[in-house]
Amino acid sequence: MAGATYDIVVLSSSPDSHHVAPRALSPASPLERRVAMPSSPLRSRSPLSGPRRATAGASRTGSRAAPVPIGVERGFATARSLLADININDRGLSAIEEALESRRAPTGPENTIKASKPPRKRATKAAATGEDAAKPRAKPKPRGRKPKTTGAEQATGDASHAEVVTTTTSSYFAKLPAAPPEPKPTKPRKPRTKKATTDDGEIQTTIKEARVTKPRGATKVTKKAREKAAEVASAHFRSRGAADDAAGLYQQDTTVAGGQSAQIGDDSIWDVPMSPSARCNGPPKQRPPDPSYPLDLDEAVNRRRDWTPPPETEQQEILTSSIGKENKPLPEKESFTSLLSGYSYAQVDARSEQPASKSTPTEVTGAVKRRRVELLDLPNHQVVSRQASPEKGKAPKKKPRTITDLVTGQYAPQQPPPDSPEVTSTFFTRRATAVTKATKMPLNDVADEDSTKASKKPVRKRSTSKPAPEHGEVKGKSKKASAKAAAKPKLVAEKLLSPASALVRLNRQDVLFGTSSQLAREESPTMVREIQKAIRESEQDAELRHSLASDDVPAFGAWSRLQRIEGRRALWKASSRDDEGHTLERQNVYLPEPDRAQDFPLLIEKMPEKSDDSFLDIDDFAPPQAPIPISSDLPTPPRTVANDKVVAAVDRSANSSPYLDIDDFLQRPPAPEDGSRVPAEENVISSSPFRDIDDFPRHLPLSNQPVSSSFHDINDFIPSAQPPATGSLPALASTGSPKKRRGRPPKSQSAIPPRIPVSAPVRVPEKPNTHAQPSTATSPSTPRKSQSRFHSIEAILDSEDDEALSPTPPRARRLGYSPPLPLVLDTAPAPAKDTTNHIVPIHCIPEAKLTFDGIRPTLFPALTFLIRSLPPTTDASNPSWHEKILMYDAIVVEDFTAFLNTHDHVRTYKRATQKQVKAWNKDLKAKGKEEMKVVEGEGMVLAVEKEIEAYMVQKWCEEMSVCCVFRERKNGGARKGLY
Amino acid sequence: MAMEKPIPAFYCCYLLRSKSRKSFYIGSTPNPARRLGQHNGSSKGGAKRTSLQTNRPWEMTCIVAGFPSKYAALQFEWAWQNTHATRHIDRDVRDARVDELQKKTKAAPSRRRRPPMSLEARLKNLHYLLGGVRSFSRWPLHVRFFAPDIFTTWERHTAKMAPKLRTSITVQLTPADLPAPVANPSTGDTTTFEIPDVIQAIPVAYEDCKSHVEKARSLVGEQRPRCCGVCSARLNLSTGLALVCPVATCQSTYHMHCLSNRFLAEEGSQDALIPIEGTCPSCHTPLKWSTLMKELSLRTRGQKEIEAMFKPKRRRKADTIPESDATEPQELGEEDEDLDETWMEDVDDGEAVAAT
Repeated sequence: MAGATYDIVVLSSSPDSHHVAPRALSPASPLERRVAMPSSPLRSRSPLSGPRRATAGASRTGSRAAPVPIGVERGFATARSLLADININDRGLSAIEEALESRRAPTGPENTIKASKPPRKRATKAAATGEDAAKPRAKPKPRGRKPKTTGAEQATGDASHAEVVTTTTSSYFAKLPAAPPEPKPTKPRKPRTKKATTDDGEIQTTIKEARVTKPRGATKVTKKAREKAAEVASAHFRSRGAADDAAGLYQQDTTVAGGQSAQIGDDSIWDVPMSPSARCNGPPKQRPPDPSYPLDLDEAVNRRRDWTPPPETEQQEILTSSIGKENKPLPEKESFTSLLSGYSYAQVDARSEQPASKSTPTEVTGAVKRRRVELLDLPNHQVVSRQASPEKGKAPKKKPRTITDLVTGQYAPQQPPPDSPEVTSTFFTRRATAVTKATKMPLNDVADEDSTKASKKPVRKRSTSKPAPEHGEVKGKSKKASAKAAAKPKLVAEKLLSPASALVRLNRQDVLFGTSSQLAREESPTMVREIQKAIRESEQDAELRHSLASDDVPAFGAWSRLQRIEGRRALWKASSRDDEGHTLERQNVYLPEPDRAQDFPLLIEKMPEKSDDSFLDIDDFAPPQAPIPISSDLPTPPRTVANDKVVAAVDRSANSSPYLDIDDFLQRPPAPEDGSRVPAEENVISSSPFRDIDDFPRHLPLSNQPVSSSFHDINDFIPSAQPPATGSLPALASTGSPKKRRGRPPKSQSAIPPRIPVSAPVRVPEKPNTHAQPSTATSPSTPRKSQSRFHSIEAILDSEDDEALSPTPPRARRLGYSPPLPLVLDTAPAPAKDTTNHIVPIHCIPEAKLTFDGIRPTLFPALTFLIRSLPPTTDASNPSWHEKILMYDAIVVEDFTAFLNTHDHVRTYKRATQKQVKAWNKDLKAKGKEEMKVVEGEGMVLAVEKEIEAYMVQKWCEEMSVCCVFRERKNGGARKGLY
Repeated sequence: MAMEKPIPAFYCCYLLRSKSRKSFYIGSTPNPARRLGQHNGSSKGGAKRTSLQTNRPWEMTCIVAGFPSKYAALQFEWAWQNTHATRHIDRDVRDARVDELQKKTKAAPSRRRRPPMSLEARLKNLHYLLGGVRSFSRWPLHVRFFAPDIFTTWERHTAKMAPKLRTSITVQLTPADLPAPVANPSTGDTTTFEIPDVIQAIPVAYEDCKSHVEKARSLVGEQRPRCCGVCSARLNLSTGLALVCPVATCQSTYHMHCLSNRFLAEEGSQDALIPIEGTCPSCHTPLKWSTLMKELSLRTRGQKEIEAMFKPKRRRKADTIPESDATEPQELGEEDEDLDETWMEDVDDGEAVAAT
């Protein structure tokens, strides 16, 4: 490459000068050179000269000591070039060698002199000479290349073929030196070399003199030239003229060789090509040992200057050295790309050096270069270096660090496909079995889990084991591959895959899609695959089962198992969702429910005998929907411990004497409450749902009044809503507490059938867990129904009265209201204590108190009193509200309101509903007291207590000059509340 | 919410007046000198509304200081800016005042629209907020005037206003020069203005309560059993919320409850919760409740502030400012954002928008 560039540049710039120069050049070495030196500055293109120098230096060293002068004239003369040229040209091959040697170890007068001279000068001179040489060469090159190539081919078949650049460069160098030597003999190589050696005495002496003088003159000339171009030019011509005389011989020779009209330029050109081959052949033999060392140094310097990339120069040096001596580990360390580039340089260098010296060495070098790559791998030094250089070993390790690498890397080498399918298949098969064995669900589940675990475990092991070996392999490969040459060919081979094979590979690739979190986890890709497969299959199964609606239980079992197993790894959360869009997590809890479902058949089987008509009715009623609800319920099962207990109870009941257990279970939670409040009949039924709804509003002080208001409505309606629940659980409950309940259930049942669709929403509030799924009437299969079973019992009881009052309308309302309810219920779960159950204490208050302004006079003092009565805190970091106020804290209204509502003293009132009044009066009656009645228009009102609201608290704060603030960003931009 | 911060060393609302004396700006800040510099462009962060170069220099005419929290200051600021709309005044009263202040009835009183406010109206609003609004009635506020002409205006217009300021609200005039233009030596232009010495001298850090804090610390460090100076019951300085008389010679300590009740009884305001002032039962020194609370909050929540207060004893003078900076910047940052964001929406007219 460098050679080509040189040629072009030379052509554009300096042809004339060259042409002119060559005539004068060759013979009068000192004068010419001197002259040439000044000429160079005129031409001065330092950058151009730079590269030329390098090549020139190399070439000159190689071939022609004598022709150098010609080159000198032609070449650009910068200080560097001059120095370099002087070194190379003056001395000739031997001189070059000597110079190189002298640098290392000064020898001989010339050397000593030169050595004594600052190396810079030499280098510059050499460069100048190189420039000179390069210029003439460059001009001839375009033309001369062809001949050069021919010559190169002749001389060095391999080298020329292998690298045009190298050949060109080599040819250059060869030519340059060749041109000068040619004049004497037609047989370039030997004679020149010989001449160089032999002539050295003659020419060299002259040259030496010239050189010695030259550097001086050159420096002077350069200065002068820079200062005074005209003088320089004149000097050039003078020198040229002088050179012409001396060069007449050369020219003649050249003319003889070239025979062109433009004697000088053409001749030189022609000469150049001719010469290199011969020269190349000749000189290298003698010089190879010497030039390699010295040349390296010079070239390295030049290269560093000329060639931009410093690291490459280092590589080149290394390579050259390695060529000579394979010792150096540096090339190994370098990356392959760098190696390649380095080789190219090395070749150039080698050629520049060796070819200049001799053609044969260039050939050898070319071969050597190729060989070198391989050799590098083999030799001990290299190995050592590889081992010694941990970097390479590390590098392969580093690659897999990225997520994609990790993922893909795992795939590439290993995957145990059989495992995954097996696992899945086992799952499903077992599920089926489990389904069939409904009664023994838990056992099955366990077994399934075990099996799944077992299956999975091996997979994991495999996966884990595999990646490790992979890494090991990779490492080993990398180490092995560290032999650069070996690694490179492999890479190339891989890249060269035929399109067909590439397609095949593509097809082979298993791309695993997943979230980054999934992929990043340690789990092997196979695991992820399996999981995904399992999910799909399970989903399909689930869909099928849903559609069939008959064999729901098994499907659910499968679901639960799969989910459990995989859910542990939490992959489900990220990727898997139900058909309905619900997260699979719910299903974890689900296991017990299948049992329930299973229980059903058992109940039916066993119970029918005992069970009343009502019971049968329930089943009949339930069955169409029942299967679906069961399934749906199962996935959503409540996670609460209570549910688990229930399930367990159910299981027990199924196995042994389930009914009693169930009843106990049902009764237990309500038991404390029921005993006191609810009549005996209601006790049994009044377990779960109702209380929750009713209780929550009251017990939850925090809830805002709107909620409470809705709450009241709900209470009213609830009775009607409850019946639907009866379908499943109520039956169980009734079975548990046989006769008493029976009486009621029938009523509920009668009401139930129409309500069932409606029931779903009602159930929702009952169990907080189910709330998440808003699905209402669309799919009866929704899980809620199953939950409703428990609750329904109460509903039935309550429904008696309420139903009569409000038959159907409540349904619609409930649906509408249902969403808010769950929230309330969620906050306050099962513990609901309805002492009064539905009975809300009714107060007879003046109507004015219903308004805030009306109650304000009493409310605020109450609040103040409450605050003042707060006991002082013992923890300075947790002051009471009173203390906060005293400390000027900004009070967060919401928090403060919540706190206040935990105290019964602070209440506002809300008009009581008819139902509440009725219930209250009923209760009073039961206690033997008078009913509360209010005559409209007297200003008195029956009211129920209501929680205090935030705005009231805010007003109070303002009244008390307390800085209060609404929690930030409650309503998005509600910041304004601050002010 | 930053409820766990101690009572700020200083927080004030201020009224700026433009160079033309026709524009006004109400803001709040924990550091008036710095804030005034921002408004006048000598440092970054001034409110947009005060960025018009022709209005500069802004003059800080008066400040209302003593807010016990940033939130309190912001609420007061907003109420001052939007006295026609603040929740702290009943609506009918509000509307009546607006009509009165504007002296001309507007056909369509849109609540969103802020009526143009004259200086007189602003001062009256301030007076009303301080004297007639319960929300702020027990806050430990003080008023300082820096512009004599505005102080005279204040006196003239507020003298007859119905609810007088309670006596505990001190109104003070400390004349300050107009922010003098500072000729920039390099550019020669006068785009920056000096901050009056009076404003720069406003104590913005906890310096004034340092001795109090030190005393409380030493008492706590003594670890000897103490009893409440009011109820004579036992008192734990380290765990409970105990108050320490700031007077150096007074060794009395009190339960917060006890002393607050005592103060309230002293004031005769039994219905109130927060006392304003009282006398130390032991040494009979008149005390401000806010003083006690500031020390208490520093003791219980202000470890960082206390450390900052006591750390750099060497360069005391230089430290006072950095000290305040150390504790306030975060607060400042917050407010600036909050106020500018939310308030710009509500305020339509050209009046100043609070930006701290």
